[in-house]
Amino acid sequence: MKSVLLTSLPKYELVAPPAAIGIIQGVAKTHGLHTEVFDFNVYLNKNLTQGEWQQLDNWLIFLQKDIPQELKTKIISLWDKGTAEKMPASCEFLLMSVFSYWSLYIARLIIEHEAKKITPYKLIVGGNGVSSKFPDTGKFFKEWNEEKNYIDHLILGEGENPLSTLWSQGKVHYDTDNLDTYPFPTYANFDFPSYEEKKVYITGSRGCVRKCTFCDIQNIWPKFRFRSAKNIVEEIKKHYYEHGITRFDFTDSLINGSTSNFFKFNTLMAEEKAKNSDLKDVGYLGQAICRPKNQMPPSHYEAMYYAGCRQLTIGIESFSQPVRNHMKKKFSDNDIEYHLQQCGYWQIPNVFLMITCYPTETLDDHNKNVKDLRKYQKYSKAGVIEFMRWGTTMHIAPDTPIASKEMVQDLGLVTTSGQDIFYEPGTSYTWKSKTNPDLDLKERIRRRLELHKVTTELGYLQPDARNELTTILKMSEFIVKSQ
Amino acid sequence: MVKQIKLTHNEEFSCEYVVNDRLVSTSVDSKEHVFSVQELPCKIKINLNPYKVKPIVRIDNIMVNYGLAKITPWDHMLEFDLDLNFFDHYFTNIIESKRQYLDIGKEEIQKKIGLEDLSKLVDEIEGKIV
Repeated sequence: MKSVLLTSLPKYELVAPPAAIGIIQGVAKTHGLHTEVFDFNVYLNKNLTQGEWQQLDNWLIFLQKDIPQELKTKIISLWDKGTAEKMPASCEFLLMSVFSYWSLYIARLIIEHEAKKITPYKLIVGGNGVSSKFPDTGKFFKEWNEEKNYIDHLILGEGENPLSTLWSQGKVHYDTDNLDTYPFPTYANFDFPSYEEKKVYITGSRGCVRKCTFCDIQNIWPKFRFRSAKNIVEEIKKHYYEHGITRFDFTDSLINGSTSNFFKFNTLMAEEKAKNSDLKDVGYLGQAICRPKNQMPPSHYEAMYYAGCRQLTIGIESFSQPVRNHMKKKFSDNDIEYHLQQCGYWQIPNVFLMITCYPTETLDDHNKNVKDLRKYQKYSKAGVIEFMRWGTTMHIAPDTPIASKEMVQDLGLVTTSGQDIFYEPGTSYTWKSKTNPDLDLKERIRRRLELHKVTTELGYLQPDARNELTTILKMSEFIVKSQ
Repeated sequence: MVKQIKLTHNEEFSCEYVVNDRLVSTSVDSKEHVFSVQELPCKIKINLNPYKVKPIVRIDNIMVNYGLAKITPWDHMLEFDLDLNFFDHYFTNIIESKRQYLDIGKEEIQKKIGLEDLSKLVDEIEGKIV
């Protein structure tokens, strides 16, 4: 029997098995392959010291130019040890998932190492990260690979069809416009106790209905597609009956991209739970967009409650309407208020994702953030705003609309030394704007610290505050250097 | 400050709203009953008919969890206390329930949910940007 070792690289969450591996394993199983799973992200986290893990993290998010050679050697040695332990007999394929551009450097390190070996298996590499550029060389992943042909099968874009073609010798092809034709993910071979939560990721849709200036989802999935409500409910039931999973985390950019399909899903799920008491503890969480009342009336929130909605992660980004308008978020202050009222009425907790110091943010915009923190404190006390995440101040991500030539010119975005942004590592955080010169890195850090203090004073929960402030401490070194 | 209690159930039921052992009002045969809170602190008892009804309870239009709100559901009534700081207690109970769910200590939960004191780290950053 043909076999494949499925591996996942940092940087990725440690909370639950990576969705990409579950999805690919589902495809592999339907083609009769024997599969094994090696989550190198979790393995490294367990086998590196906290300091080494932090250095790796800083390197992967481009805050640190490089890591010491000893650490690279240790990472490679752990890779060899871990893959040897998990390698199935007569392994024909080693598949590596490069989740995002924050996995680029470690992917390059491991792939260059793999290329030196004589192996019986073919190397398959895919994931969103392989569509990106290396910040240090400016080369696309594909160009870098073509120089030495390190990879036997490089998969750009969605993996299901290329892998199906490979493993079925071209006989099986899924309909990319109909996500219901894709096989269900499989979470066999995962060691659930090694993750922080017993939950699985589930994908209800791909793409987004918005084109936010700071987001690159449009490049990955230009078209918004979604699975039928019935198909999603069937998958939830499968994971419940196979692994006893009751917690489902949607990977969707937004679970309410199609409000009608989302309402249908909630209604169906609620009906299934009412019919079948086995499913009573099933719940879900996911990212959603704040919508006006005419798009999501109160009945939609009620359906979410009965379906088991346990948490929504909402990209509010800023409490300032002008800032959100520039971002193209397309919701108003009244919509936020309505959303919170409904979530309170149905006890649906929210994680608010915020972006501090967007390039157009004025002091008035910042003060609006502070003001609304006070206004919404009651929702924090009631658990409706469960977590507040302010992030590490605005980071200009490559390949996003705001990093386009036109917007960079419009906003006058340059490095602190006046060079093009992305000119050197770290500049995606240390940009300055000629059109909003007061908002330099120092001011951004000052505002971020003020928000931390007010948020803390008001008692909001900020689970990532330590990590975020640690990153900001690292960013503050750029100010010291420039002085 | 708490002003209103709302009980909702998918079938009709009746209630007697008792505050500090004094019957304040009666509300009959409805899926929803709304009572206003006139004095704080107070001890609330809501007698239910039929028995064993477990309605959704909303305080000031926010649905509350029985356990976190310390609502005791008897067969024939709901019993709980309200005071000026009801949602402060509710928040404390949320944290405690997270701690128990994760089976970790008090210090660890504070770190996990971002309630730990990070003022030294803030000072260090401020020191670098002056």
